[in-house]
Amino acid sequence: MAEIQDKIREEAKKALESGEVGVVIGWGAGSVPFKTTPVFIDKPQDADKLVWNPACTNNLAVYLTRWARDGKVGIVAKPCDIRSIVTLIREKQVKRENVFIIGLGCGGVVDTGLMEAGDVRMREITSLQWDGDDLMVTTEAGAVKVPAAQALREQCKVCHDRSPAISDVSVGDAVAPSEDLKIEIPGLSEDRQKYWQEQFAKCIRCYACRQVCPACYCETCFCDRIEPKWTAKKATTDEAWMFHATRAMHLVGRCIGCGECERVCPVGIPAVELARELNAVAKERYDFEPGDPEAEKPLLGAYKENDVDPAHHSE
Amino acid sequence: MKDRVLLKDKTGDFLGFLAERFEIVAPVERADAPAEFKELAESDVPALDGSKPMMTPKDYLLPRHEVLVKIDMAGGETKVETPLPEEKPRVMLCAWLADAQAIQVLDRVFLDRKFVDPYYSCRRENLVLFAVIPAEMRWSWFSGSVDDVETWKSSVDGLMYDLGDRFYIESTSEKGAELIASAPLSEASETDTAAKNKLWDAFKNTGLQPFAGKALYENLAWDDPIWEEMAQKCIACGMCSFMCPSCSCFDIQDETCGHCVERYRCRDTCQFEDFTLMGHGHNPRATQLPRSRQRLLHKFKYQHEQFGVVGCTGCGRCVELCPVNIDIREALNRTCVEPMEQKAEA
Repeated sequence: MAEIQDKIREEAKKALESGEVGVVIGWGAGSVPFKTTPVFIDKPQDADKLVWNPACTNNLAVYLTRWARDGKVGIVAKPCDIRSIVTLIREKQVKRENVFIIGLGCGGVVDTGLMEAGDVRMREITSLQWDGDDLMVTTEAGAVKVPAAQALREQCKVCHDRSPAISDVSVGDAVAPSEDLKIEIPGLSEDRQKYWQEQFAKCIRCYACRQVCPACYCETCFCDRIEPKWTAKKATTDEAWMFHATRAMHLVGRCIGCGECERVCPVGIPAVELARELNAVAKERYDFEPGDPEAEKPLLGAYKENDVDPAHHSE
Repeated sequence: MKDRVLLKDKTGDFLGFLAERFEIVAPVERADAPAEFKELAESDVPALDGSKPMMTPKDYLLPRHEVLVKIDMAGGETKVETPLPEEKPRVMLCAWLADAQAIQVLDRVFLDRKFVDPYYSCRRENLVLFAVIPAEMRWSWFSGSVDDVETWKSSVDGLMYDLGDRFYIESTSEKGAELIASAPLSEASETDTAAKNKLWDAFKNTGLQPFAGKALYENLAWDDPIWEEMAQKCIACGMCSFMCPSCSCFDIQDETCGHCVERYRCRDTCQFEDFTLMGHGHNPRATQLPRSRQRLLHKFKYQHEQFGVVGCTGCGRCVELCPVNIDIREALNRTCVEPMEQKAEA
């Protein structure tokens, strides 16, 4: 892990020194040892502020629409983050020539919430490292091994995409795909309706899910519009339902499942599950996978004569 | 004022005693989400130990959605209704002390003598407030760094210290003393008192920062480079404000439905772009930089100047939850401590 971190710094430094990019977006040390924070490195000597550890959770592609509009930027990206970048390029939000991708192989990142639920005392953590399949948590009282199953974020456990789909430089070895685990897609049922009702009832409308999402780049979100008013600002279950359901529909074939929305939600709404369900339908009916660099057009921008007509589709 | 203890296996009796006299408001656990303050129904089991994340008591006193006026014009007749909450004696249990102190900030906004907000006031008046000091402090707390927490004891009627198998109950007002004198509680032993004092010290010293004890309101600079740094990474969500126990900004919206009009109040935040957007299109805080600056200056400078209280009580929610790890403590250390040290060196 330390070697990969060194390589990231080296590549960032080179790109900045040669003037290829004006800034490199990456992860820096967080305010506490179990977090990292996005950093924007614009001087070669600051490249040493970049870090790579199990807490590098943020999908930094969210910054590209703002930063790569008028010039070339470097970005340190995990395979899932790269799928977001592919989507942004395909949707013409970012030009390929405006991003310099330092791509990483990745075996998953941690969910600090799960660690807290375990025996680890957050206050005492001094560092996080991978040790084979285990997370090595170094604390003031000594090292604790946390099994990956307990430490990894949900989507990392089932991720098949462990090496960069596209990149300008690739750092670190590709990591073998995890076992063939599948995320359960619940069917349509009354229970499912009840489940989402309970989830949306919790929503406080802080929009962290939308703001952290690289695919949510609309300059004015439909739910911030006053005329027409698609959904009211109040945090009631119905209005939250309208917001989350519409957002999910907007993300079909575009959400790459990084799970940032779920990670940042202060009330634990698993918004990514909705997009995951819709993506499963897109895969089944149109053989489309979001973030696949081979696909020429966005799902909703492509039409083939033999496309399944959803209106006549029966389960 | 004699302090007493509540043995945890006698919690039911204590709650029964309170329920005869008050509406009990306490945090109730939810699946996959922080506990939320609500009026206890008989089937609710309150989360009294205060050790896990919880929503703020603000969500009870200043609901996320509150109808202010209902107008019905059916049949050519205009009926206007202002649905005020019922005024009744309430007791709030197990708010974090930082959250209880944050109610002082809300009071300054909503119970100002020039204008008393009737909706807030109905819930706040006659509220007996007991804060909790949990057995273990959360890693993100830094209350002792923003204020002298000893003075916060007068912001509540009593404190409940979690001593494992029992709560040590200390009254800090006459109302609190009266209540615990008649409640079904046991006498506190000297050991209990010693354990409680130890826990109080732990709370006081939790997360002490380099900026502790410094006059932040004097040192926060309008043109500090940190605002740019925060704005660069801020993704402009409203989580820090919505989860904050003292952030009180709201929006008022009108909704029409057939012959009805409903005017309601809901959360708003200085972190949203449209917060300062004027009707004619101008936005005085057009970029994230002034928005990032506003939140901190408001809490640590303006509110201090206006009310004489600090607008942040160190509950640590924004520290724990910020999606991009903007840490308010780090920002304060950078803006207020480092420049002073540099000055001292020069």
